[in-house]
Amino acid sequence: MKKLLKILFWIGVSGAGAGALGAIAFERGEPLNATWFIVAACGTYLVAYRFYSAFVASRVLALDSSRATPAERLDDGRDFVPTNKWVVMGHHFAAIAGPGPLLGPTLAAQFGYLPGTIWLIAGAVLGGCVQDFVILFCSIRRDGKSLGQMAREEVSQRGGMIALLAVLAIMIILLAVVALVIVNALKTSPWATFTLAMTIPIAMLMGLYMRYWRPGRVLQASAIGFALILFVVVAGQWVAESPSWARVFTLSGPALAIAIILYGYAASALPVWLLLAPRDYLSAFIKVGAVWALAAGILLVRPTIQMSALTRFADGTGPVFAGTIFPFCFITIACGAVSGFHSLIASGTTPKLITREGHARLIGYGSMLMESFVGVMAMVAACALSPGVYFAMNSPAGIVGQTAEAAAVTISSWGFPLEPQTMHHLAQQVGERTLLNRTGGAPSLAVGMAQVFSHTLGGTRLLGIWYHFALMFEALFILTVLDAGTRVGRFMVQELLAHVWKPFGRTSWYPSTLLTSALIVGAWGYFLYLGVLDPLGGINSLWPMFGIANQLLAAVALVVATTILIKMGRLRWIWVTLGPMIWVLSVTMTGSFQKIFHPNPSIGFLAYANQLAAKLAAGGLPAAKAAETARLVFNQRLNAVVVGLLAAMALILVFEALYEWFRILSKRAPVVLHEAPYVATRWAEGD
Amino acid sequence: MALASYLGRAGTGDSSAWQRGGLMRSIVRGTQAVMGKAWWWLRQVSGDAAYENYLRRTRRGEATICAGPPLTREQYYLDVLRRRYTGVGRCC
Repeated sequence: MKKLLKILFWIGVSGAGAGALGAIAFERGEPLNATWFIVAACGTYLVAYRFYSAFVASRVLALDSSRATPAERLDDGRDFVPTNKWVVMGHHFAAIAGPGPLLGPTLAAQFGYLPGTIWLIAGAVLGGCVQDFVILFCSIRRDGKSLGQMAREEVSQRGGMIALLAVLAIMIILLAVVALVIVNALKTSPWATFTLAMTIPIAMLMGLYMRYWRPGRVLQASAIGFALILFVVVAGQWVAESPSWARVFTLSGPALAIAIILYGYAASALPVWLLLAPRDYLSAFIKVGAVWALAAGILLVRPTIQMSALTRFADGTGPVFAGTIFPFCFITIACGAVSGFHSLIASGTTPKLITREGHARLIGYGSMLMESFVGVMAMVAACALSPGVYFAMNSPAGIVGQTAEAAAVTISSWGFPLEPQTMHHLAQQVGERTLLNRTGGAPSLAVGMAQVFSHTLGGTRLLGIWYHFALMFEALFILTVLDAGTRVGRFMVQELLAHVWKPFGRTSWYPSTLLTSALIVGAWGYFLYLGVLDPLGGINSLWPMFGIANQLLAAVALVVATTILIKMGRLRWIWVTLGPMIWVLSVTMTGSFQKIFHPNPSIGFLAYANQLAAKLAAGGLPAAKAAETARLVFNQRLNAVVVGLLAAMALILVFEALYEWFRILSKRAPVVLHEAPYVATRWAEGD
Repeated sequence: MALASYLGRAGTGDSSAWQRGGLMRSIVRGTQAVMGKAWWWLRQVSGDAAYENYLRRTRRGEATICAGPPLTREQYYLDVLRRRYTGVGRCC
């Protein structure tokens, strides 16, 4: 009887998921409700977790819960600590959830809701979750070794170096693009700038509280910080309404870029307890809270999807970013479906906390399902906006013009009706001077979230507060990523420079800290500043570069995973990681090739550089403009070189892995698996 | 040894409450148990309980490599932060 009920339950879940997916895919003409997206996503996740992840766990990886994990064998009470699986899952999810799954789907909504939603769901259950799960498993079996170390041991000597360089490159591009998102979210907005600026003293206050007054009392400090943050979100309105204060906090794009570069440098040199750690606590709480609130809000409000299933921009002429669905939809969504970066977390802290191998399924596969769900909600929030408003906010001035009137004419001509009044009215409601050309996805996501929240609580009267709360929430954890990323990037540069001169490797030596911080901040700051000056908005070139770098890292992780499966003698099951690997590689290789060589200047870096160079050669440009154009030409060529190098590094690793597979399978080389030997657990069975 | 007791997990809800009290009382007890678990989880995940866990484990002598007298609350907090922010801990 019980078994029958179980079978009926899973038939019901599969039916609901498949039915909702069908409704999303084939609904035409009738307005679609957001509930379908939630049902389709959750139904698929449940079925995938119950059946596919169980298959991967038992057949492909053969998880063995009788085997002692590194947390048990190497327990030192510090790095290796046996921890409850739900607590590890909380840690792991907080670590992998960043701005990517919120911003990527928002940008990819320009193709319509269908391609992005399908990829978010299918890419996660077949690719992203599998990658996180398998890498976590491999790292557990190797005493918590990092992806780079595993690449070196299991694939090739060069593999480790390639992984390190790829991580460094992805970090620099990531930091530049998220900083650009902040600049676009804050520019010309005194309310948002004031709120975010105030989070710095608030974090410092929390830092002092947790360091001196009540050491380690994270929850108390976070509660105080959260109350203060709510206050400054409200106070931001008073600042925006006061002409003299509003002037102080109204900054242009370049000014904001310089402020963020200086801030990044200062933050990476300050002690972590003062600024980085307290803000990390605060942003983690607000992030998880806001994501749950958004889910609850979408279920309560059940907004109608206004975007069509497929827009005309599937042909590659999109204003948000140029390029066709294949490969650019997949590259843009990046972290919401497959994220190479997760493999660093899955081979970092997490494997050192896991008490049983069996828990890797919940923590690796399960956390990524939640991440994908965040992406689906961002997609819903973007598609619930009127498409006219969505395109007016996310298109750069170089394409739709700088005035509401010009934007309304252009966007209406694309078939998305928009009145100039709509943009004025909406800007007024959310307390902004303008909502035009606010590229990067953060402001349009904030409008989407504010609409959902204000329908639940407060109505249009509170729309401004909700909008600025949402914007603050995004900017807050982007700043955390910026600080933490700059710091990690600094350590990597120090590790690399130590090969040149030993003292550079000493992380506590001040001259080395200052120099390497300057190098890493200078690197992302350079891309950020040129992004701000780019007439096409910068996001157009930087976000795809970030996506390519991230997906290439995923390819590296999947190559390592497949090699390990082959060495473990699981040749029958290698399609589990080989399939996603081939897909991710074809997406990134096509994407890299097109970003470098595409003849359309809005896609290909070289074509754009040549177009600008021709303009420069023709003469007639004023001196200042000519200098700026020359810089843009150089920058486009630099972008092409960076993408080319990344792709080349990944290809080298793939060919080395293929050679290794050939040697193993043809028995030309002995199989050497660098697993830690089996030790039986001393804990009794059960959880 | 059972893993749950080793990890110091919060007590599970009292299943006999239904038999002993009225409906109201069992609802209150059930809610208390759920809230208790949620609070326990929040303290564990946020790191609020990290120092208590550390002390409990050093006293029991479970951690194999740690030697010397236990760190103070402040030293422990700084040690946790130093180790957390030297590796990749936040994602895109």
